Amino acid sequence: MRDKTKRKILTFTNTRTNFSAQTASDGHKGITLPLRCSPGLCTLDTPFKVPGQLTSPVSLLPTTKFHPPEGISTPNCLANSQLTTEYNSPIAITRFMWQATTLKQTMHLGNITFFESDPWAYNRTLVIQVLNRATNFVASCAFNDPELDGDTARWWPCFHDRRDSDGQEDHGGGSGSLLQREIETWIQFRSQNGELRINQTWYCASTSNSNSNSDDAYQITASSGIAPKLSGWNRYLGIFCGNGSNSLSGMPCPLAPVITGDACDYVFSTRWCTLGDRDGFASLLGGPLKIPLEKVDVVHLPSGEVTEPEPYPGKEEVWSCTVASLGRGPVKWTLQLNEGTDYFAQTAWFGRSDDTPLSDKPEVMTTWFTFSLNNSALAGYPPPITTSTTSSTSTTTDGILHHVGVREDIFNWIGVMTPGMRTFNPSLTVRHSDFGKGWPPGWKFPNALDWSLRFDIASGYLELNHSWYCNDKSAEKPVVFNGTWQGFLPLDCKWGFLKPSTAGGVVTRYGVSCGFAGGKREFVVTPSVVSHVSETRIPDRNVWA
Amino acid sequence: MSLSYIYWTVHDFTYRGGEGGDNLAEKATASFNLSLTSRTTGVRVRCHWGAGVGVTEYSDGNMIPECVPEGPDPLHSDSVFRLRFNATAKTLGVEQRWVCGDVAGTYS
Repeated sequence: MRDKTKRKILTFTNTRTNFSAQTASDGHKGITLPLRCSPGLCTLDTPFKVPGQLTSPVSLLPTTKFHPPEGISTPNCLANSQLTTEYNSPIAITRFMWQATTLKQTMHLGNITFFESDPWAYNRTLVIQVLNRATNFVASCAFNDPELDGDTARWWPCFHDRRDSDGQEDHGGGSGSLLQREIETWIQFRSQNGELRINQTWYCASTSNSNSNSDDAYQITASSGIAPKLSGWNRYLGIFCGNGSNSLSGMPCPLAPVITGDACDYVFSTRWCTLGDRDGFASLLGGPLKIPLEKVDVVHLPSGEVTEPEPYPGKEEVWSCTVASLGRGPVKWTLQLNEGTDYFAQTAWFGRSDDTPLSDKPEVMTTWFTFSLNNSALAGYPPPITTSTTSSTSTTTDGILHHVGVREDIFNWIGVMTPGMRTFNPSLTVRHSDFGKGWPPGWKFPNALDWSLRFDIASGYLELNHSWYCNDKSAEKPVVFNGTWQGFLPLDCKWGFLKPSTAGGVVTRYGVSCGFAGGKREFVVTPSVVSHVSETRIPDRNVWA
Repeated sequence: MSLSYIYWTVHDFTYRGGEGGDNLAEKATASFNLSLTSRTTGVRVRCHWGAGVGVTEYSDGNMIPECVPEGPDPLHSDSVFRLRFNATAKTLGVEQRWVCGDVAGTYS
């Protein structure tokens, strides 16, 4: 099983990267020095900075400024941002609707009911549009998360956080371009009492101070909330909640008829809250529903912080995907056992599997493996600005690719990863894309692009490929990294009762379980990484929210 | 090491020998010296060009000085510099090559 030719690869580790840089703009001509010359002698009065640009391993142009956040230059932005009363508040809701619908099915033959289901969650929606009147910026988003079926204290990110590639969740509000500072809008809606809370962070230019640098800006963070009652300045506008139901009788049943003549009744029950009227538009008098601000924090940002790429001059110890990937020594990948597991891979020796359709084939053996990949280039991925005010369930961005390689060779994969099986195929490559669109990507940040791997549990041989990109220096021309590592994992394998696998659910069986040697929970490898500058923007990708 | 704002700082620059051009008498005694610090790697070098020292002057007027380390190499970058100075245009071009490895110093 062991491939000696591949063992040689183990001894190769690319731990040094060649870099080169040259004078920026025109490396051949150079830059003109401000020399002070007298007959026969030229000198520099003061030290002079010669700007450069990286030319290898990628051509990284001098950092360019980002576009400022939208609405930053709106007249009277800063003053209007600090008005807190309901009448003149900058935060206004222009559209809102929440609904959660359940479905109950009754099957009957004539007047005889022989099946009646409990209501189950059918669909749900949270739609909101928030206008910031100080910047004229509109944040718009829609969510369909099952968590909305019941009361939840979750904070929903209603801003362009690069998660809306598949159109499932239009977090809106963004122009599509990468900004140094995003306007962040967070929404919390409690269906239990109809309370809506909004936290938003936005930016205003420092235009009122003629002595200030034009790049100066203020960051405003405000919190606001509203309860569903008809009170305040406009008593005709507010969030209204109610419920209703629709019935369909005598409809065909979804499955083949149990007996001739059977039919099904359906009852859709909906709880809803809307702004002003049932269709969700604020069409009543008074226009948008302005919400008083409960708290406003204003922070003066130093010059350039809204437009300069990181690290800012004078504040250089900040995380940069590009620098972390290119310039801090070789990239390291740490293969980590998943939480709650003590194995990297397992093979069931006797294939008794009560939770799969294979239960009628007890001779089938299965193999599964799963781990997390901690890429040192992405490990420092920073959290969103407003992490402290948000639910930890939706905003953690730890830079780790979770559940890489999660795979059990069941269904059409029977035995392909299990040595000794007739269908065993050690050349099988498992790709993230195998899991399809509905499978969570396993990462909570946009930079990871893909992974693929081959793994042979008999020898511990692993080929792991992983790609990512960095656009913190240029959104238009990001740097793409393709890494690969291949070698034999130091696995300790033992026979015994297998704990339930994450991939396969509750399973009762014996087999071989393999963890890292010495009981360690992680193993560090140094991949070979090549990089290139993409000539096009990397499209937004869906991530694990 | 910074890849975001790559620049070199020129210190103690002196050029002797007039304004360049085809004055052979001036060229025969021309020389220049400078110190260069790389922000990216922290390396500082002293560079010298002098007529008759075996260094190069191209037909386009670019002078290629020799550069030697003038201090430690804090990141073990093995930096190599190539400079071009044009006395007529008063332009300076800089090229630096270096390596970056494990920050712990465990190079292969």
